[in-house]
Amino acid sequence: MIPEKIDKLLLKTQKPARYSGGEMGSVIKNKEDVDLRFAFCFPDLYHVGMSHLGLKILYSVLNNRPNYWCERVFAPDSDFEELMKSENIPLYALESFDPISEFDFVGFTIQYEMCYTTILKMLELGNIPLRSADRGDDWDYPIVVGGGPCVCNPEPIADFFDIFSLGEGEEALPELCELYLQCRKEGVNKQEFLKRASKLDGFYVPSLYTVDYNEDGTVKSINSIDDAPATITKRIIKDFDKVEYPKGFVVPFTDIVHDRAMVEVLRGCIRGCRFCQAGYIYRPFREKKADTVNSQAKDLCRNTGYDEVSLLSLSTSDHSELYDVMKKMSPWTEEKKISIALPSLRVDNFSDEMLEMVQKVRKTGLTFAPEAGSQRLRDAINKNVTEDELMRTCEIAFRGGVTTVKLYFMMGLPTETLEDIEAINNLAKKVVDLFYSMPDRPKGKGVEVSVSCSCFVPKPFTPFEFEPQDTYEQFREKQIHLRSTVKSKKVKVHYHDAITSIVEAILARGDRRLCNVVEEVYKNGGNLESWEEHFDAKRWTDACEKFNLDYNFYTSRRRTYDEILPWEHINYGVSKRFLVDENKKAWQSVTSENCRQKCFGCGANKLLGGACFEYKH
Amino acid sequence: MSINIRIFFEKKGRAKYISHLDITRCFSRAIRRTDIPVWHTEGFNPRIYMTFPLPLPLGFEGERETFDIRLTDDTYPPEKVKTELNKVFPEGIKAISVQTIVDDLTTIEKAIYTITLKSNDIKKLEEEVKSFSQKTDITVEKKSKKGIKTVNIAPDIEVQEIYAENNLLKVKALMSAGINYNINPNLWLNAFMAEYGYDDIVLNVTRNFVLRADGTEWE
Repeated sequence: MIPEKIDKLLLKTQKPARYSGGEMGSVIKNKEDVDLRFAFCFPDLYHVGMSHLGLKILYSVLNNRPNYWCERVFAPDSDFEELMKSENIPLYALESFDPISEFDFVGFTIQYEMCYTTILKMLELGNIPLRSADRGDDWDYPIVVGGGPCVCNPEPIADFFDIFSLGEGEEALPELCELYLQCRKEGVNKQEFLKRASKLDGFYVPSLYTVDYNEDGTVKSINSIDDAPATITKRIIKDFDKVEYPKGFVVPFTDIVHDRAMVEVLRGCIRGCRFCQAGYIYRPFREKKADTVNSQAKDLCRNTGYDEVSLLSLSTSDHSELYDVMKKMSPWTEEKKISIALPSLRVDNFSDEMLEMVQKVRKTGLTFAPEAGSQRLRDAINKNVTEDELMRTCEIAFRGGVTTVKLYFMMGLPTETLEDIEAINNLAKKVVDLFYSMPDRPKGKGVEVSVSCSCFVPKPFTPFEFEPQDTYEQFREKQIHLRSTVKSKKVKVHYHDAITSIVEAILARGDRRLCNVVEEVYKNGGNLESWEEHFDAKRWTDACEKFNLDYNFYTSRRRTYDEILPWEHINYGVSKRFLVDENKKAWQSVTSENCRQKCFGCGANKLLGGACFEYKH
Repeated sequence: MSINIRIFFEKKGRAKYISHLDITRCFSRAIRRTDIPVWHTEGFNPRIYMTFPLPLPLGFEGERETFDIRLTDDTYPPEKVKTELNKVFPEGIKAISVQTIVDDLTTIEKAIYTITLKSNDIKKLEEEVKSFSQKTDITVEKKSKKGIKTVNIAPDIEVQEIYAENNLLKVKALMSAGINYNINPNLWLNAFMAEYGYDDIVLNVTRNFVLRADGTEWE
């Protein structure tokens, strides 16, 4: 039942089904019957947060334990936030409608930097003090915990969190919950709980570390206090095939971004594209068996009623048994009119059969990511894809009836020149020419090649973590140059204002001093900043100025290999020595083979306790 | 053999926040969670064939809403369609009955609504509704497929009952409804509130029945 106070507001807001709960698959428990309540917060709007697989996985992992109740919380849109404030309604969870301040844990999944201010908004709407230090030593407030890719460098938001959960949460999070219940039972205070949490593998308690800076602003040292471990190592699931996976999802009423069943088929990536943070922080590579994928997909479709299932991963065509998976899924998906989506295919192992299987039920356009226009630059970033492979793939796709191709590129990559930018257009043009050169091309429709070009943000734990980001002026010049080279009407170019990427870059490699900046931006109205209409770069530059921080120090400065980086105390498996080697190779345009072909000793295998693959010598 | 069937259902409580478009999506997913043998449309995007004769606006409750589906197996018992759907429908949605199709979609002419109003002065509100319902000219702007038109909706609305209950005012009204000409109760409500300077008095609107031209229940 919706409390009357909330009920009467819902018809005054846009898309009220985002705030009314009751979706199929949502878990309702009796709060008197559970020991622990976890508010799983996604710091963005409902339709974005509900698309996130991590939420679905952890929601199920926690709720599978009868004595835990995990609920969902999303950021309200501006119109509903106004209404909530006018009626004094604190931020609530969608299952029980209880305020998040009543929970034991408030957990945020942190997927991108532009949601940092939304985290603060949600805490404030939940009547929870923003800074961990202001929440007292006792149990007056929920424990605020953060996870997700951004916590590989959580320093710019370190002051707001009690604990960060590094790496994969399926096994780690229940351990933290058990420790919490134990501490509550023993009657110790929160400070003691945090100390003990810091000794659990994979949990970083930022208040137990201090940071000293050099005069030039770089980090001098990171020191642990209260014998917290000097480095914190992320958690992984060793036997990925056996990891707990949801049998059902919460199925929303309203449209969401990714509205389909999803099976995560593998974790990690063998590719080592040098710009890609996910390719490093999710190492080592592990996959599920074909039978596991098939039965999980079947369960999910049956329990959700979705007519589309996506085989999700960083690079699904790298699954060693993908054919087998598709063959097993073919009979029942065809019978039930369920289409299979393969969202991340590579051009170097794409085949006719694959296309046929994907398009059996519904025809869709195809998306590929060459990332860079020239072979030289693709070699520098280790995107091991050749023009021939792209052309061959497009040919297969065109022959199969596809007429729209999306190509993703980045600009501002290390070593890039204007010639590399021109090469983007040349590549798109070749795809158009290929289409018209084919006698058996799809008839009736022309071809459309859409080129999306994003601005590169150097990220921690990648070989480019040392690199300067392009300045706004450099990005502008490249964007204008790209636009001027594209003459064909069949090629459509899309890009965004570079300023968002610059703010992302400040935060991605930022240090603890930025906590003040994040709070200042929030206090000046920053919220839901992943949405263009809510983003204001000036708030960020003003806040940096107020605290005497030059944002160029974070964005366009080259780091030396021996600089102590703000995330030096955090270990994601991949060693700095390896990243340095890869950085050097990038500057020589030398590629590295993928992990299946050759091991370069990145270090992530230590998390597994053995080699990632069986190599034939 | 395939057969078209008609399902009557109620949409109450928090289900009123599900828009019509979302209801169609929600129902196809609900059906997919059962083994009901439904017919899919053909073409590039096969979907479950479903027809809703009279979409319910967002925020309204419905006591006897309806939609049609096509079964690919005419021996599948209608009663089982009902029990299977009720296993998978979300809170607030309930199948009431399943039957073969009697009336054509175009034969819906009217619908009965119950409107619940709140006020600090129910007596005064009751008098106002009474006198408003006597009006022969209620001119409003009505959106149609051809654009916005100015129409007099008074002849299309017949207020049948006005009574106080639990300190709330209930208004039962018969309004033109259907594919050809449909009156959204909000048109009347907004005109009423504008006339008497009210802002926030509507607590709930429920559609009770849909009717044929002769005033009997549409089946």
